[in-house]
Amino acid sequence: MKKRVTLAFVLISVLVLCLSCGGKQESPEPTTTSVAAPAVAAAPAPVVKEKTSTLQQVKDRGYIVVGVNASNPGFAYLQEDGSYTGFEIDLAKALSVAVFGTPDKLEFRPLTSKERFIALQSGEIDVLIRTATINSSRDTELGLDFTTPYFYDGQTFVVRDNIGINTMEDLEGASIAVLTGSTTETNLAAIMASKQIEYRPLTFENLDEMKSAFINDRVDAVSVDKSSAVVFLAQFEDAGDFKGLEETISKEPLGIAVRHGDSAWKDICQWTLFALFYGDEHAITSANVDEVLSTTTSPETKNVLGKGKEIGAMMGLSNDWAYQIIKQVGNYGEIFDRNLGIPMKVTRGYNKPWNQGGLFYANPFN
Amino acid sequence: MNNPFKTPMEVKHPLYYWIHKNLFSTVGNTLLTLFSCYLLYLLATKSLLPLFSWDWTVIQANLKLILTGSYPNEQLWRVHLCLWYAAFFFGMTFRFSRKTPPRIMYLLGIVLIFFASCKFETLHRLSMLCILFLLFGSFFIASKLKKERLSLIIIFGWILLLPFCFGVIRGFGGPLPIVKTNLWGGLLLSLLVSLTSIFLSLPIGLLLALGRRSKMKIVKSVCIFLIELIRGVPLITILFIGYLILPMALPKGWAPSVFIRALSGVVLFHSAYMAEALRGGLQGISKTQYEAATSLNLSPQKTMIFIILPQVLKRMIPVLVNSFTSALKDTSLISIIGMLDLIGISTSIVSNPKYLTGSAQVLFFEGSLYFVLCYSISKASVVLEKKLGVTTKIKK
Repeated sequence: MKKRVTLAFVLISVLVLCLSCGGKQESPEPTTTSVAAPAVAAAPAPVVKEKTSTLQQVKDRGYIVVGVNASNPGFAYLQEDGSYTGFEIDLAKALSVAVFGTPDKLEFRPLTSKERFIALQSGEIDVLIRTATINSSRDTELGLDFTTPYFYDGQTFVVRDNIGINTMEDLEGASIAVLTGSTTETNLAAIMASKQIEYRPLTFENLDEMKSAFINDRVDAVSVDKSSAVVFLAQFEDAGDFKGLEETISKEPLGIAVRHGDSAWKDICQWTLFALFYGDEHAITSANVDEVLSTTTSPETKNVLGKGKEIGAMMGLSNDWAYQIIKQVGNYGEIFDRNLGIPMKVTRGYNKPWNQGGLFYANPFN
Repeated sequence: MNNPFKTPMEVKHPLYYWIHKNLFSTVGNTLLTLFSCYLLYLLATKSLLPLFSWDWTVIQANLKLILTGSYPNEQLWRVHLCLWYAAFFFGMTFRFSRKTPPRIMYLLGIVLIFFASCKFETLHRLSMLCILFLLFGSFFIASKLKKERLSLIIIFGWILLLPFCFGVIRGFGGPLPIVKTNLWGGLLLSLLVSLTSIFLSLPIGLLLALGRRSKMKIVKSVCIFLIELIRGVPLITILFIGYLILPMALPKGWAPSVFIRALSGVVLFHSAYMAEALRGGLQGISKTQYEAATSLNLSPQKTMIFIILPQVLKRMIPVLVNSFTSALKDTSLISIIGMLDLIGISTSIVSNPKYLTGSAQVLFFEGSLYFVLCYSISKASVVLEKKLGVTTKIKK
C-alpha cells in the first residue's frame, strides 16, 4: 500500500515538473523574438520574412485568428445567422482588409476575460480585440503590446434612482457588484479604500448575472465601465428608475493587444487604427472615399489612400490598404455610429478626433 | 360489483366523497387544501400566465443560432444528414425492441410535423418530413429482416453514428469542405460533446475498471492513479487545465483545437466516474459465475465478454442512464472556457441590441430542450430495461 502511494506521489511530481519545465521553456521564446526583431527591423524589407513574425504566419495561414468577446452588446456578439458583428468585430474586419484586402479572412475565438491574455501568450490567437484595458503591468509583465486606445472607457456606478444615492460618498455600506477578474474590481477596491468608504463587494462572472442580481435587488449598485452602463440603462428605458452616477473613477483606455516583441505585426494593428482615425478626422467615409481620392490635394491624404508614398509596402501590405479599409469597413466614426451610436445610444464623449474635441489623434502618414 | 365496505354516501356521490375524504376531512387538512390552492393560484398567475405574454420573437429569430451556432448556412444540410442517419437507426432499434411502434415514435412524429409546419426554409421543412419518413420507414424495413441480422445492423449503426456525424459535420475537403470547430455551436455542439462523452466513456471506463481489478501491478496502479487523479479534480479544473495550461506546456502550434481539448477533458472526466460505477457492478457478480465459466473451460477473456459483462451491463442500466444524463447536462460547463454551446450561445444572443431583454425566454427555451433530451434518455432506458427483463415488479 505504502509503495503504491509513493509511486503515485513520484508520478505526480514528475508530471508537475514536466508541466512547469514546459512552461518555462516556452516563455523565453517571445523574449528572444523581441531581441531578434529590432535587429532585423534595421534592414527595411526582410522584417516580413522573419520566421516567427505573426504577419508571416497570418499570411501563410490565410486568415487572422482574433480573440473576441462573444457576448458584449454593441462591441461583439453573434447575430441571428450566426455571424459575429459589433464594434470590435469591425475593427478586426479592418485588420483583415489591411492584410488580405477582404474583410472576411478572420477566425473568431470567443474568450472570457480571464483567459484572453493567456490565449494571446500561448499563440492561440494572433490579436486580441476584446475590451482589454491598457495598463503598465499588462504591457510589461504579461508580455503584451498594446496599440493606442480605440475606445476611451471609464468606470462608473449604476444605482436605483429612488434610494437617494447621488455621489460616491452615498455608497457607504452599500453592496456593489463588479465583474471578477477585470480591472473594475481592483479599481473599485482602491478608490473606496482611499475615500474610506465601507462597502460590500459582490463579484460576478458575467454581465448577465450581474444584471439579474441588480434587477432582483440583491445588490444596491453596480460598478461597470461607462460603455456597459449605457447598455445597462438602455434595457430599462421604460422603467426609468435606474441611473448612472456622473463620477468616473477610472481611466479605461481599450486597446488592441498583440504579443510583445512582434513590432511588424503591432505596426499593422496600430496603423490600421490610425487609418480609421484619419478617415474620421478628415471626413473621408466609405461613401466619399473615391471622390476624395480623385479630388484631394493634401499630400498626406494621398499617402493614406495609396496615391503618394508607398506606405503599405513599408509594412508588407498592399499600397491601397487604407483606401480599402475605409472603402469596405468605413472610418472610425462610421464604425462607432453603426454599432454603438445608433443602436446603443452611446455618446461619442472622448471618442472623437482631436480636431472635434476628442482624444483620437492619427499620427502623420508620411 | 358492489363493495360492501362502501358507505351509501360514497356510492351515491363518489366525487363529493373523494373530495371530502382527501381534502377537507379535518380542520388541518382544510387549511392545508386552501393554502395549496392559494399557492397554485400564485404559481399560475405569477409564473405560468406571464409565459404566454412573453415576447418569443427572440427564440424565433435566433433558432438557427440556438440549434447550430455559427455553422455555415449553406452547409446545414450536413447536420440534416446526420439527423437522417440517426432517425433511420432509431426506427430500426424501436422495431427491435417491440412489434408495434412505441408511443414515443408517434410523439416524435407529431413534433416533427409541428416543426415542418413552422416558418423555416423549405429545405429544413422537407428534411423534417424526411426524418419522419425514415423513422417509420426503417421501422417497417426492420420488420422484414431476420432478428440476428437486424441486431448486427443496429449495433454497427450505432457504433458508426459518431464517426459518421463527425466526418460529415467536420468534412474533409472536396464535396464536404472543412467546417472548423470554432463555428460549431448551440445544440449541435452540446449534443456532439455529450454524445461523444457518453459513447466513449463506457468503453474507456470499462477498460479502467477492468484494469483496476487486474492482477498485473503496473496496469493496476496506472489505472488507480488515472481514476483517482481525474476523479479528485472538478470538471472545471480539468477544462481549465486543458484550456489554459496545455497550450503553455506544449510547444507552439502543437496544442489541438479548443474543441478537442474540451472534448477530451469531458470524456476523461466521465470515463473515470464510469470506471468506478462499473467496478461496483463487477464486484456485484458472485464468484461462482467465474468458477462456472472456468469449469466450462472458457478463457478469462471469454468469461468476461460472454458471462460477466452481459450481467453487469444489464444490472447497471439505471446507473449508466444516470451518468448519461449527467454527462448531457455537464457539457454546459464548456461555456465557461468560451465555447458557444447551448448555454454559451444564450449570452451571445441577448447581447444583440435587439434582444437585450430576452434572456429569460432564451434560458427557458434551453432549459426545456435539456429537459426533453434527458427525459427521452430515461424513457428509452425504461424501454430497454423492459426488453431485457431487468425490471422486477413486486407482485401483489
